[in-house]
Amino acid sequence: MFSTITNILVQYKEGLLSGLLVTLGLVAIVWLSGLIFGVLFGIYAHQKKSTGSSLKVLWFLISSTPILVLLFWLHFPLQEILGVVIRPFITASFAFSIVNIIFVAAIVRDALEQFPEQYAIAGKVSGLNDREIFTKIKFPFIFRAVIPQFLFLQVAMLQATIFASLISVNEIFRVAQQINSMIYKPIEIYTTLALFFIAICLPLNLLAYWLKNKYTRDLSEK
Amino acid sequence: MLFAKNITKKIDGREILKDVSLSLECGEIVSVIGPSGAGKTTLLRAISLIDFPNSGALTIGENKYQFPLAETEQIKYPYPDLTVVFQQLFIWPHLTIRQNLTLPLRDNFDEKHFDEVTGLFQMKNFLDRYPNEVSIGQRQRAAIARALLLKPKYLLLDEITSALDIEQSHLILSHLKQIAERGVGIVFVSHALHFASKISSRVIFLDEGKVVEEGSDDILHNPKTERLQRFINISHQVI
Repeated sequence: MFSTITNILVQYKEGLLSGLLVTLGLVAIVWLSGLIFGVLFGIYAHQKKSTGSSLKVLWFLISSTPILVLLFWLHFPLQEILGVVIRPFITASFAFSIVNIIFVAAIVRDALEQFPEQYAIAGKVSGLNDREIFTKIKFPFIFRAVIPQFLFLQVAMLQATIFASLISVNEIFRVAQQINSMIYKPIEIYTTLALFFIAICLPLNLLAYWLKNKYTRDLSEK
Repeated sequence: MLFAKNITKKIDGREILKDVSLSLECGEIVSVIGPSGAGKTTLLRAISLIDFPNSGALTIGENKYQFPLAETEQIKYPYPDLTVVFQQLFIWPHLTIRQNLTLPLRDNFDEKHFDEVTGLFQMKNFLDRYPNEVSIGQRQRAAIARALLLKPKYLLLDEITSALDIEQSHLILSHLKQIAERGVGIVFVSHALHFASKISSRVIFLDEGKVVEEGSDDILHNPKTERLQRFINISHQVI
């Protein structure tokens, strides 16, 4: 089987590589938008009550809607209603980014709301300035709370990108399906695909697990 | 000198402090005593500018504050010349005790002073532990040491002996006397009369947001008001 996998990788390297690049491009957009806009949205939602309420509503809506349904809705009915045709890659990027932004924002907002403000006051009366309080007390505290959840979410988002194949995005799963339809070697092809996802997801999962163990030490006082 | 004049503080429309005045010289220990809900912690938060008073005036060393503040007024905080040790301590849980002590010092780390303070509070054997790995008494000592390392002129202590046993309280209170002798002015908020009478140069009895009686520690033995007499009687019965 190993030689067959190698043969497939060599023979279809261009197709697989282009599929891989599409997947990586898609996930890069989703991760970056989550990291930038999700974090900003979360901070803003913490600071402004009305935005916080909007985030709650959006979170309930998005977490109650299967990602595939959202993707199909944006790809088919919405475009028909608006009378536009948008490239599937853009639709998929938009759909996954929206989900990631809202979920990241909720994680950030929750962590900020759970931060005991008295720790900041203790810093203030000790003569620390606002920047020092943020970098030395607030940020490390919140980072510890956020990072494992954030990484697990990003792994889930990477895995969710295979749904993009269902609206004709030529990402790696779709390319694998196309190769399989030509040579019918499902075991080898889907094993290769699984190895690809394991190669990216496993280190991320291990990192999240390590960070969780390292930073989410029980801080409660005995 | 720390001087608070006619401090009034309202929370949710309710007047918690009513025209409270207090003065503190360097090297002096003033105890603020009173029953729960008397406004002791509110007073401490007001005079330390954690929560601004609604009206009144404050002088902390060279800094003068008049309340209510003008809308555009930029306040100059007196920290760490004035610092506070809270009842709940608020030792930063993600840092070791050593890091808790050294973080506010930045580049002003004075090894001799650090050794002196940590030696005074017998902290050497738990400096590298996290706050949740040490006892409440050790955390209490760490909180006071963190404040002392800042070399404050005024130290405000909110019920710091509330979670300690008699021996630990005695140890800390004896240290407070030494600290005051070095010129630090201390406001000691407590409901424990026996501690207040042992260490204070002056005592203020607060009830329902008002100063009911004020004087030397003698007022705890010969109170002038019926309210303080009742409070002392009840305290003695409980002890």
